[in-house]
Amino acid sequence: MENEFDSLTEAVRKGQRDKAKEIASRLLESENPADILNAILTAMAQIGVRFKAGEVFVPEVLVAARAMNSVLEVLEPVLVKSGLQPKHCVVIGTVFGDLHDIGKNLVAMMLRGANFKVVDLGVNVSADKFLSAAREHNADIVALSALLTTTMPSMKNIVDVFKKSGIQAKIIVGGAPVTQDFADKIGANGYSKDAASAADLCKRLVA
Amino acid sequence: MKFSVLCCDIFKDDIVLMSEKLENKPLQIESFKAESHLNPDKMRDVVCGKLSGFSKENDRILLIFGLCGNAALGLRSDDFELVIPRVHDCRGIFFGSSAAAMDFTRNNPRAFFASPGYISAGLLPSEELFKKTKSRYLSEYGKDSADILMEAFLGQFAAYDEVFYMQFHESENSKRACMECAKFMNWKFREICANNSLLSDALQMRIDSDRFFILPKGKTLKASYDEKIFNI
Repeated sequence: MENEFDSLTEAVRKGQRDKAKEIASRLLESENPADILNAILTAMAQIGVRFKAGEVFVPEVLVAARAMNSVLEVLEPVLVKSGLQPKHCVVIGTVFGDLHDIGKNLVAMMLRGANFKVVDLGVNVSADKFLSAAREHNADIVALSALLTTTMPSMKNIVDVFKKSGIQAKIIVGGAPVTQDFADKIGANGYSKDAASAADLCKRLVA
Repeated sequence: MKFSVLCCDIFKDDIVLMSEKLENKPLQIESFKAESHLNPDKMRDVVCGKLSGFSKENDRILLIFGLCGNAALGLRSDDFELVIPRVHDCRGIFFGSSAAAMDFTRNNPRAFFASPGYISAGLLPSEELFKKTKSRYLSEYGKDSADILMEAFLGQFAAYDEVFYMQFHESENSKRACMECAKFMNWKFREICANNSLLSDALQMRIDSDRFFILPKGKTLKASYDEKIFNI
């Protein structure tokens, strides 16, 4: 059966959705769902390392993340039944004024793959909406995305609103024009350059 | 004052047309491809390469682009003063200021923009562009992945429901192409006259510190993260 786990890891890494789903369904008949989850997390960790090293690019990560998602669809109900539910929650969204969502969606998928509960608020999300979702879901982390330099000031506004509210959730920022320098300047708790690093960052922040 | 222009190619035709009427014409007009914007780090390298190619006869190089996803950050020259408009992107140049562009965007959040230069650069969504993209994904990633990638590619246009044709200079062909795009995408077609004052003043060296940032020789361009956009 060890080879089946390796095959699942490989199928997810290569973005082979149907094959990955098929192997996962077969494994579910006799194996521990935690081991199956581990196999897909291994795939995403491998692709994350290769992405950071510049060996693969966004399309490869995107197709792998979609394959991971299709496995999670069959795995999640079993994981919930067996008590292996995510311990930490991330509220994510693209900030007010910005309608771009490819990067944000990719981060959300990577976080789900890293066993976080993800509440995706979509695009053009106001500070108030982030705040009420963080309260409602008792979020550990709030992840803000922006593609445009024109919408980066919204991130500062959201950080300020959260500071005033007294909510303890940590705020992380990312998106093509966002930098560590900017994150420090607005008082965010973390910055991530890409989706793979975002999952690592969230793990560190809740450790 | 001797100067040259380095611009994104979506402005090149407009700049050439405007420069013909100038008494003090630019010594040289250089451009780079608009698609460089897809990778800001690459765009910065392209711009740096172009800057090093200008004649030392110039006092200033006029940069006709904006912050552009931080591509402008890190620029410097030891040979010339660099002048850059305080805009985030081409919308600020189309509208004459960053504030005007942001106001318009706030009021029309689902608007896609196209100018004659933008259309010439092949950036308008079209059946041809979609076919070309699909074909590239198929050959590079195979059918299953190509479908996912196309979904993501098409997703970037889903936020729009109208296209504004920005008339920077008259071009019936461009306008027609924009109308065809609106039909193909099922968007509402709208037309608006661009405010060319920022570009026109830049070319006439009417440079004020409210609208332009002058980067002295040997200094590096940084972000101010406020409405001034640039800093050192």
